[in-house]
Amino acid sequence: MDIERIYREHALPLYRYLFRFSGDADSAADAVQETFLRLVERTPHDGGVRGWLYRVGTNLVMERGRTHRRRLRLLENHPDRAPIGDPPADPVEETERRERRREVQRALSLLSERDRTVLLMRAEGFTQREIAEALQVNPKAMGSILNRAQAKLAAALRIHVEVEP
Amino acid sequence: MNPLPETRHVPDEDLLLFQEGWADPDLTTTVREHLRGCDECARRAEWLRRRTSILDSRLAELDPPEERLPSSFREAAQQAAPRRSAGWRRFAPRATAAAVAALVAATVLVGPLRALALGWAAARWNEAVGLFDRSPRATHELTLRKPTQVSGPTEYRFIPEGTVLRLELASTQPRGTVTVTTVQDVAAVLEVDDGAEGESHASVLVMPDRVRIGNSVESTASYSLAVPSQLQAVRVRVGDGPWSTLRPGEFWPGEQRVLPLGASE
Repeated sequence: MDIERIYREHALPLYRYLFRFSGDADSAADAVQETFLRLVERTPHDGGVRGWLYRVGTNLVMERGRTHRRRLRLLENHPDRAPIGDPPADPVEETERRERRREVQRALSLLSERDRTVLLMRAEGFTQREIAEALQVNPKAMGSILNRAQAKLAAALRIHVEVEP
Repeated sequence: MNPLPETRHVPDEDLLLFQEGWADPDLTTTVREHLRGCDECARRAEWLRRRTSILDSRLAELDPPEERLPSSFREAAQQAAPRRSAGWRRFAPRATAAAVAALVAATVLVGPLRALALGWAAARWNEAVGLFDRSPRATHELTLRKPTQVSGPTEYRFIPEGTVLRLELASTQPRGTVTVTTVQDVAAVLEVDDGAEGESHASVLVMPDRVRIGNSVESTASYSLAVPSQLQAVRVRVGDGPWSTLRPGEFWPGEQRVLPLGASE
């Protein structure tokens, strides 16, 4: 197994996914590292490596005590928690972006783990089969699962969709 | 193909399966044919499509701005881009160093607790080294330099095991740094802090930018540095003293070697 190649290809997308999932930059970064440590230790034999990485990473961020309540508290107390980097060039723009991010994080935190997983894995481009495996459901059920998850997130974000008659 | 009865519309879940490309061939054909003749379902499909699009754009807002992503992950992703080019293997060592450094740099900057929490991984690394590529193309070389701030350590215990290098620094100073540099110019600073009692451990993949290690007076700090390629040689330098070079054939793997500071190999 080419660990180097896998790392280069998947570390950043995995980090983004786990950051979205947990709302916590530190937790996401920690989980990425430990996921790759485990990859070296236990090469997955069943299914694709990509799905394995995301499953393990997701489990790690959850195992690390990022419970629903703690996530909410974290997001409320530190909505601007972001990865380390340079200060923003435009503070006003950055503030607006943080507010919007905070709104989505709050909405996601209201969803169940399953709903969050299906939405975020789909956004990462996972296939129906891969998401179904992660959720341990029949792939044919993915339509209704996705529909419910989207409906809940849209409601939480108070999204109103209009279509011309 | 099983056409829908004229009085039945396509349920949302099937429309979503169709739009996502998740429907099987039969359902795909059925939905496509139905949408051609059913304005109500066509409008519903458009409504679902717009909802999906709006949610996608909102989820994308969760991502931090590109410039605020951990530089390590960005660098790793950049390394991935040309991976299929003809001469990509030539750059593999540098890519490895940068990528793994990136991994750690972003994850171990949170203080001594983080470093301590990673201690458990050291033993597993030692068990996992057999998975690494041991082909001779790997050219990692490490140089270890004693920090000028620390005067207390009397020796390094230098324990290469496969691709894991464990460095034990006996310290009589509560503070200081150990700088580790590879020939690929990937540098790490292991910063000893006076935050913990007794022995301190850190396990990192290769080289973080800066790892803080809790390290009380007269404790021993232990760092496990895992490199996903075989080390060809390791050079140790203390302060301005002579280089000590260790080569895998001389002690590889798992053999311990204690280098008095400044000793020449």
